Amino acid sequence: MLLILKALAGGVAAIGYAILFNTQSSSLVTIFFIGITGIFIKAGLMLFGINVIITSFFGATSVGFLSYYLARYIKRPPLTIAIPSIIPMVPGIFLYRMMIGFVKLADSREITEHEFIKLLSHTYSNGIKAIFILCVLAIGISFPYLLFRKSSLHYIHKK
Amino acid sequence: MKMAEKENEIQDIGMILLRIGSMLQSSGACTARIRIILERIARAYDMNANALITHRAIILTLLNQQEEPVFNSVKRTASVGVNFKIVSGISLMSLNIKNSKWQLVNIIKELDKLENAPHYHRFIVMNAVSLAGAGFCFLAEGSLFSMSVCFIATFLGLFVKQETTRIHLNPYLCVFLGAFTATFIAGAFRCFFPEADLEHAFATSVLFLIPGVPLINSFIDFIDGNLLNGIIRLINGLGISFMIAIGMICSIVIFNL
Repeated sequence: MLLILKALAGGVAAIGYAILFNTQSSSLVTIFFIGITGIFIKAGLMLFGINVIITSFFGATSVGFLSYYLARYIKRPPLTIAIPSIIPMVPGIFLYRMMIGFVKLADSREITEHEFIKLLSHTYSNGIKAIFILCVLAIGISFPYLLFRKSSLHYIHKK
Repeated sequence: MKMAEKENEIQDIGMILLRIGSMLQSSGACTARIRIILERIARAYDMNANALITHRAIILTLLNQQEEPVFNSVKRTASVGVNFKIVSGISLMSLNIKNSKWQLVNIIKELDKLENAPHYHRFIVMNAVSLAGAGFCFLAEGSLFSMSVCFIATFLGLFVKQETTRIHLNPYLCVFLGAFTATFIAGAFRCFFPEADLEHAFATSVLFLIPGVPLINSFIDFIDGNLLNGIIRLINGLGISFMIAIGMICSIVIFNL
């Protein structure tokens, strides 16, 4: 049940960004559906104890492929559908914890060396997670582009 | 006379293509898409388009079928903001032009229509984005109260960002003020209700500012070999992220979180 609620929240977040980016209203249903699917796959895989970076990659790849194929049906550029759908997967909480860690490290006059090292390792861990997730989101969303772009350019040159 | 007419038509096509490139660049299209669309439309009029696409200007050379240059000009690109309605509209138009060669006047009419196409009503945008913020908060495992705080913080943060953008403040400053407002509101709630775990609301209240489009386009540009544009978009995205961080840090320091 929680998984379904999370997926719905992902869909709502995707629609919010689609409206912010002034996406055509005819694309909103598709974006909602892709947003739900991406979060469903990501959160579903996390239930099996899989690492958040790997689950984000699978979620992003599913968003990339779904938007690539569904964009053809609704005759829109794939990225205008993929970008709003992927944004709910952005690791906001990790980025926030990394930043809080940096702020505390910068003002570390009254903490012991042991606490400092503990804080540093937490900050580092959150930062690395956030950066890797951002990278896999970009790779996942670009996957269909990587696979199919060469062929489309070749087709244009041949014409 | 016929030759002069042909030359005029080439000039018009060149200027239209520059306008299309400029519109796409300022609306958040990646470099490869801009190049594909320019080439697609030029081919419909039996020409080849060679374009140098940078962040702030587009230089276009049109070649005729004998590979002779027939048009060369440059157009500056204004930074407008992400607008996928324009990207989709031009993409669809280019496919139609490819299938049935359009009269130039029709292309201009279509571009005018796309440029003046209405945005969503401001009230809808603010509520939809605030709901998205609350959705984000739920995804980060925030409580119902956290989600409500996130909704209010996002709503006011977006309002400040829109207002500062409207008076043409520096875009980075707009992001800073938006982030500061959102986190200030969430931070104030966190101070007044310390027993409610509002960490998630504080963290997710600024996510409406994340530079998703520049960062993803930057990655796609890198993959396609448009390294210069990729670097520019990446630095732009990092600049926006940095301003969000500064806005959050100000609130963290004020409320001693």
